[in-house]
Amino acid sequence: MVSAVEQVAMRPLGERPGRVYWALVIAMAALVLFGVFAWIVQLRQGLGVTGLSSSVPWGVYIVNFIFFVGISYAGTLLSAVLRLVHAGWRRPITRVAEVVTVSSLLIAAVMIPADLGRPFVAPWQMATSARGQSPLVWDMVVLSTYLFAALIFLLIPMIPDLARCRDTHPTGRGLRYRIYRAMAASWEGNTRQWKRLERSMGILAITIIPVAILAHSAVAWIFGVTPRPVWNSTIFAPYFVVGAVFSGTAVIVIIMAAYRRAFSLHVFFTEGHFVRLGYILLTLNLVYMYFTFSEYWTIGYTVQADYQAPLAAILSGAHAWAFWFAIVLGMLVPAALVVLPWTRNVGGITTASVLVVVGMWLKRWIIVVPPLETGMTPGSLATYSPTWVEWAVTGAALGGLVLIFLIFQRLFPVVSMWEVEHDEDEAEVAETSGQEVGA
Amino acid sequence: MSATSSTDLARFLGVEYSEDDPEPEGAFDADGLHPATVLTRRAFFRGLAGAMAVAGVAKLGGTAVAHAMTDAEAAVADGSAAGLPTAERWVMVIDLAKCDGCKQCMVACKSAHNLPDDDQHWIDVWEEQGPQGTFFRPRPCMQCDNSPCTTVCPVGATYTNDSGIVLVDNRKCIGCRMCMVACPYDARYFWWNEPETPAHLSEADYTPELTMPARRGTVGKCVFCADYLQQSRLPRCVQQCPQNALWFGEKTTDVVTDGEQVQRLSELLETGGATRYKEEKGTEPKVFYLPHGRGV
Repeated sequence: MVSAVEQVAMRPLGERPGRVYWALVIAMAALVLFGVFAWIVQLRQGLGVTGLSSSVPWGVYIVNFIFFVGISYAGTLLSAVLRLVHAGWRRPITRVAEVVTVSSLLIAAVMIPADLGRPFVAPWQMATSARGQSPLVWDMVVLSTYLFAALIFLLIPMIPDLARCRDTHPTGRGLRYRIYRAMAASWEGNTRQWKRLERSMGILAITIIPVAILAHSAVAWIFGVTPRPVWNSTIFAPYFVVGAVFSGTAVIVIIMAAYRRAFSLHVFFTEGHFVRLGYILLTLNLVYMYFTFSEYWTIGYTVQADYQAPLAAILSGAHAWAFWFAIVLGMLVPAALVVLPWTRNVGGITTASVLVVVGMWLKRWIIVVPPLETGMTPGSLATYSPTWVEWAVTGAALGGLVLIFLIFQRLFPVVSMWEVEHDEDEAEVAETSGQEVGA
Repeated sequence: MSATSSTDLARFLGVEYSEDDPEPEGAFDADGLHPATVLTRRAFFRGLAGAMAVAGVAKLGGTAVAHAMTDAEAAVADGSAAGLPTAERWVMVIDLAKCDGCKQCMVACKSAHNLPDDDQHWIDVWEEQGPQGTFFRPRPCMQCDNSPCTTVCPVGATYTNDSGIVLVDNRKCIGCRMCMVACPYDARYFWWNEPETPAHLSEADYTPELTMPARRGTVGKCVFCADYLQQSRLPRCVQQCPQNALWFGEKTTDVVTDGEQVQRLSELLETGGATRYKEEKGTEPKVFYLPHGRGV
């Protein structure tokens, strides 16, 4: 028996991809290849091919790193938190969220060797000489834990669906079949296996939340523990965590909108889902605005000389455009799009999400670059503008992320079929007993 | 230290190092080492080294000048027992009233360490606005006792040696640049491009003290010319300062010199009203500044 869910969710797996798909794949692969080329240029000639200098030693690569780690929060929030509060409406979107987590963490990880002066020496040094007092070592430990946890959190709930892919495979031969068979891990769907699945998901959902919070806190502390004005801030860790969930939620909305359009997944990704995610986005938006206000208000109110230069650069100087873009188009406008009933729909909330993502990238730029440009001494004043190499690597990061999604949806069901069916069963029970389930 | 080795090294480093200062007789007798005594440069090196040899703290060798430094000596001689430092504690004192911003120190440093012109200023000189007008501030590495750069290094590539000098081992450095963003003095630099290896040096000659051959993708910084210190020679910036604005000394033996005069460090710091740059950061720098408005 083929369920309605299965019919829709598995359609992209069997279909031959259309022209748009291939055009996208080629475009994204080209972006990635160009980025790889730029990286090879950088490896051969050194980081001198970037716009970095001893005054501004960190730039776009670090901005990207924070940005992609931030996006990775998506899966944690939606899958784990909503699972724990038994929000049934989450079910169709959990898989997308979990893929966002894993793929963006992988992309973030690529930014580390891209930024390092000696990427080939680093693994051995980190393996043999890592020192616990360095924030970068905290990051390495916590981010690799997080990536591992996120990978399990993605793969375990995929098992029943993979078993179905295995069992319904038309030929029972070939690479694709073997992938399904291996990943389905001898799933038969007996009671014992279901119990174990539910149990491990429960444990994972609880443990991954502190891991995720620590992961982004560790990223924040790279900046927070330095004696640099503006960076040396006590609110950086929670500020980063909220910003991360905020941007991650926006990315989920964008990917849902894309999948919905491409595969007519309107049944799963309903307008109701977009509106609910819109409300989450709005809440996080307000919290992030509050943090932002608190941060700059407390710094700006004092007249401490070493804070004034970076603050001026951010609010009215060279980087004001990025800051005000992030504030107006990245926070205020998206908030309005969710609040106003006329735009509180798929189109409006997707637009809001795109603005949020762009705004949050710029916000990370604001965090990293201006306090470096203004320096801590008069000897270290410099401006930074990224070169084509840095933009090419950034483009490759973006292209790589999209490419992962394009490949994923060809291989695996983007909707967690068993969870959605489970939901439908529950809904039927609820209907008969006259209760409402799932908000 | 043999003269040959020092001239060899001077040639390696492309630094003009004058060995021809005559050494006046009696420069080192007991009466001679009054704080204001004028010594030749060479004599001072030997003296400084000798003081430490007597104190049993240094591997430098040299003739005894120790009578003159009785107090300091005794302190160090007892030092090991009393838990005092058993190695040199190098310090620098910079007289802001004397610095006229000629940047000779920068030139000497750059040519000696083979640094690119546009990026790496291991000693930098900039203009600052003080309560008594503008002045120039030379900024070497502060060689902090509580150095944020060594704390944040993920692999221990940067470390403090026994003499309190903060070094970078470029064989270990992975080039993450965390130390650079953590330094409150902006005193760390990066080899963005392929460095030129000086003709007479090969990779085997590398020590963190010598800093050369440099390695692309790693961090570089002022090391108080640790290679020169090993040979009882003053850091190049101190030697080259035409204003004698830079003093170099050793804390345990309480001596300091600008290359011509020798003084007690404690006395110079006290009479000069010494301060340290960004004292509030808690980094405990080993570089002291004498304020510019003292009317010297």
